Amino acid sequence: MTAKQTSPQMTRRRFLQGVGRAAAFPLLVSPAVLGRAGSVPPNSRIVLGNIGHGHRATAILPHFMRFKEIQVRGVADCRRDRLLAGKAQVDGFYKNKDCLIFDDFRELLARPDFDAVFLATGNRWHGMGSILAAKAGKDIYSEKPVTLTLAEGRELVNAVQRNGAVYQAGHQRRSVDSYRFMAEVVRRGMIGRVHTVIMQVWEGPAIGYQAPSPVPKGFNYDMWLGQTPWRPFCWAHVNAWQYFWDTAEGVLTDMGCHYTDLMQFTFGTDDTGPVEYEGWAVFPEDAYSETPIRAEVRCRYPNGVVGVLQQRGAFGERFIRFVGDEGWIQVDDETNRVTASPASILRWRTIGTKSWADTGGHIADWLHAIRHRTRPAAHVEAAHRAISICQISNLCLRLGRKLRWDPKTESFLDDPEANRMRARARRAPWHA
Amino acid sequence: MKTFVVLSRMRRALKAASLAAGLGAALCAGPALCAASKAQPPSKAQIAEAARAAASYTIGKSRRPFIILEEAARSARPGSELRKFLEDRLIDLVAGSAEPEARRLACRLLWAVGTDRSLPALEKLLDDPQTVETACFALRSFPSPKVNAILRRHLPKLRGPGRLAVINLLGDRRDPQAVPLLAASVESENAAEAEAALAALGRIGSPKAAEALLDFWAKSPPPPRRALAQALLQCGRRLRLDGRADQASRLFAAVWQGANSPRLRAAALLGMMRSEPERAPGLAAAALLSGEDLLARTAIGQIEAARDPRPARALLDQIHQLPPATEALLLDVLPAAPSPAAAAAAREFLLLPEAQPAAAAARLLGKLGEPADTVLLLRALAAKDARADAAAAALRTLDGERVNRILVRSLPRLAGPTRVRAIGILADRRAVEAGDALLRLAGKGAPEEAIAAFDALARLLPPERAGALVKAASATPPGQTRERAFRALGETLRRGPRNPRAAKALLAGYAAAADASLRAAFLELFPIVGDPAFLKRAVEAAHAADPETRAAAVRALAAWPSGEALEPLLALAQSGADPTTRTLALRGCLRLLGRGEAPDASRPAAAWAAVLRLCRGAAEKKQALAAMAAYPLPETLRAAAGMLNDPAVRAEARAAVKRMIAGLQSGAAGAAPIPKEKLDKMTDAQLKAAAEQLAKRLSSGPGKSAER
Repeated sequence: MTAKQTSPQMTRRRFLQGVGRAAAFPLLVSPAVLGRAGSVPPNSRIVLGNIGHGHRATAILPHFMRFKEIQVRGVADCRRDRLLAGKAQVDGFYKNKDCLIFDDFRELLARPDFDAVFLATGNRWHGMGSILAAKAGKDIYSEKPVTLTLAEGRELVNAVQRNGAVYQAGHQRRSVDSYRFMAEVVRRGMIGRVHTVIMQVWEGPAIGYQAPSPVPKGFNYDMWLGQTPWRPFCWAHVNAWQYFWDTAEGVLTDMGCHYTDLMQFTFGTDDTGPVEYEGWAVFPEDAYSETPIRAEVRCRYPNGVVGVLQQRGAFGERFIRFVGDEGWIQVDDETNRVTASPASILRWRTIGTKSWADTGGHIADWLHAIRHRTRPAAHVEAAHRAISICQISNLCLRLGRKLRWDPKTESFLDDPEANRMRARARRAPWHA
Repeated sequence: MKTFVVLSRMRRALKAASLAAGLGAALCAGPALCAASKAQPPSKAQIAEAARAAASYTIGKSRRPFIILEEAARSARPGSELRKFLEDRLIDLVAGSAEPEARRLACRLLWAVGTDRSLPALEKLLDDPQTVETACFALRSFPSPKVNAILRRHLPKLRGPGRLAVINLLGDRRDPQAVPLLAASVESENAAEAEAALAALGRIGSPKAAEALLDFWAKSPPPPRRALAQALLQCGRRLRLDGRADQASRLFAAVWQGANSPRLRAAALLGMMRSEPERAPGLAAAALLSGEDLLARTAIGQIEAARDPRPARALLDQIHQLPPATEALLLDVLPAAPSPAAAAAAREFLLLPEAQPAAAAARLLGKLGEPADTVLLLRALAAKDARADAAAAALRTLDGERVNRILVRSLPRLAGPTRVRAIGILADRRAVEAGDALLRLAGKGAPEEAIAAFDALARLLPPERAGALVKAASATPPGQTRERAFRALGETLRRGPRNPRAAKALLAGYAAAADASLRAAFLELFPIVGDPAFLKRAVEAAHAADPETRAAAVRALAAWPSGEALEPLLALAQSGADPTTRTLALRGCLRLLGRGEAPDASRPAAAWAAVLRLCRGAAEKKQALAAMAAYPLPETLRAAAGMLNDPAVRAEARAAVKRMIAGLQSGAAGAAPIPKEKLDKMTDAQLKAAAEQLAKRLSSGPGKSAER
């Protein structure tokens, strides 16, 4: 179609000068070739692999598959039952049998025909898996929390930036109307000068003791553990890995990172963060699980704004609230309901019914970034800084003292022990 | 610092929390959980006892001894006597014959609190393949410089995962003296070891590591190519951050020249652009001209990320040599700041055959905001591809009345579908000056153009010009166009319901209406104005012989904004010419009464009574009950209570009675209010008795205040 294809010397400008601009119409290119009328040229489709097919992937994968620009072509999971469930879901959507399956996700990463991956593993794999994906030249959509440790967060940022990968964290609230409205209200000063942000996640739980048991057939436990220290197989751990320091960091990080991300997003502090942390926690006194049951951490930004990350109440009571000297605004996560004082603020809200459960907008943002090789809404640096706040909060609780943090050097001031806890050795063969 | 980690002994059963998390009884049974509080740290005796007990810890047993040791680590100050005591006990655990899981948890504590005193015990763990990784966990961030030497000393003796773990740790700790050892490992026949060593060299990122990696890159056959390229990139980044940009560039250039994978070349390009910003435009140009789509997109993405438009502008000279998709990306990153070259490129690309760059050109013209580009964008609006949408978006954003004038002038020359789009754009731009042109199109255009014009007029036309719209609407044929015309007229009237010129025009239009359908269309707009003159005409029309006019008039009265319509509606509900009229009128009455609109504000009960007498079918009764519930009076309460006996509306009656009782109780004296829970549990008979009692009390007492 282009003049260049017929002669390198013949530019289209010259071509048009010769025949007159009117000749440019009507166009001869079929709309289907151009991706119009709902079709996408095959060579511009993004071939996606899903790594980790548990509950989250089951819920979210259809959002990816609904985009015509995306072709989900493979699923990887270390559990055979989930692997087959993943294939059934993908094949069912496309009405074919084309979905490839991989017991070892590294085989998926090694294939050049996959452009991107969607990671929905347990937390222990989000960071490591994303680093390996970036090194394999894939673009990445990773569920949160994006890393296990502060050091892994920086490694992730480096790997993504070094490889020019387009990375979107599953902080989809950045792309959801209610939260964006809240951010806009705060940024426009409609509640005055903000002094406090309250972020509430739910309590507990504590996991009871249970003896180890044989690894079930079709369960690659070594791969399941990944970088985390080896321990005997025990369902109490495998089903509740969120509440153990090795495999996750409890509710404060698991859900808290959504809110710290919104706080950072609203303040435009995606490359920095709070500088002081203090708080308290109620740990299980005698339970197999390790992470706090109830807690509160107050973090302070250099400008004095305080973020209060509190773990209390029931699951349905989670929320984020910005409090200013002229009012407040809150989004209840369970209902996506926005409340504010003065209530007149709410008049400015355009009607939006999509809640956090709809990740379509967030995926669309990622696709745009892939096409343009630019940063998506929940880019890697932002995601790292958001989870850093939760990770530092947990270190504050585990060490039982106030911590001062330098966001520039990403190190603690005058606290060598805290600095040591920024990184953990990974079990071989995993490395960044 | 207000509070720290709480260590009190308050017992709290959190079984419920476990259940709430859906973890199952098997998992949450057992632990009696309690809070912790800031109390005395565990004593030495408690620590010693806990350490003894911890030695036999296996999964499934109580973790309590370790919880005490963790509490001790939290509460004992670093460097304190108690901390030393704790470390000694942990060393005993690590060095003794404790269970593997106990050693692991002890090492996890030493990871944070261990000092050089722990090193001999940890070093010993490196000798045992079963415990190497546990030792590596503890040693990961140990500040002692002795650690690297220990790791180097043990590496040659190790095999299998333990060897990989130590290689990884040397890389994590960035031990520059480990380079020769790691370089030797790169040549291992074990691929996992070679890859781990390469990655470790990359993480160390010293000049010597860089040299070693470059040597491997030059070797034939080289080690795993992708892992080596990654190591080069990683090492290059580290050197750049350490201020060695020249060396870093060498590494990136090696990958740029030697790698086949577009992804790796893109990563190398990024490395070079970041290491040598002054070369960035040239590198970007090379990437754009490489013919590799990913490289071109990466270069442009980097330009955008750098927020420096100069390279993009510089690249405009070469834009014609790029594939269309890349042209589009380049145009998209050009800034909104005025630039003759950018404007010229955009104007040219707008009308080229390829849709992608043309759409980008339209977006750019929108950003540049030059009104003179309106004509060009209108041409693009005629395209049958993505550029038309982009042009439409640009035309909506271009600033100034001049744009509106050009758009209006161009309307007659545009082809049908394009004209329809342009009309929509005028409406989006709130181009009031388009009124005359739109009215002309509305009167004479093709049906789809007329509809578009009426839709635009609905958003634009000021109410004082309603007369023109009345004329245009009167001239439309029945059907969709007329429907949209009257919708436009309605919207125009709503913008100025008290505008006398608009009202006069409406009445005149009604009077001159040639047929029943047209009269009906006018009648339905009467409630918007809602003044007595219109009410009079509507009441007259409600008794017209023609059924279409009659129905429209009753609908208008039913939608009337004030209580003046209630009386004629009541009359129509009682003795309307046909059942439809009576039903419509009754619904209108209910609507008005439900809104608190009664002709005689001092006697709303009488109006309700009159309306209720007319409710015959279940549907009407339900509607009446729903309306009454929001309008509690002793009379309405009695009426609603009376309907509790009617099985067809019992549920609605219960709901209404309960709501009215709740609403009236505050105004009633003499008895304690009945709580909602009690009301919910009452039988129909009890509810009826309570309602009658309350109504009686209100009618005889000061509860008159309940009448609104």
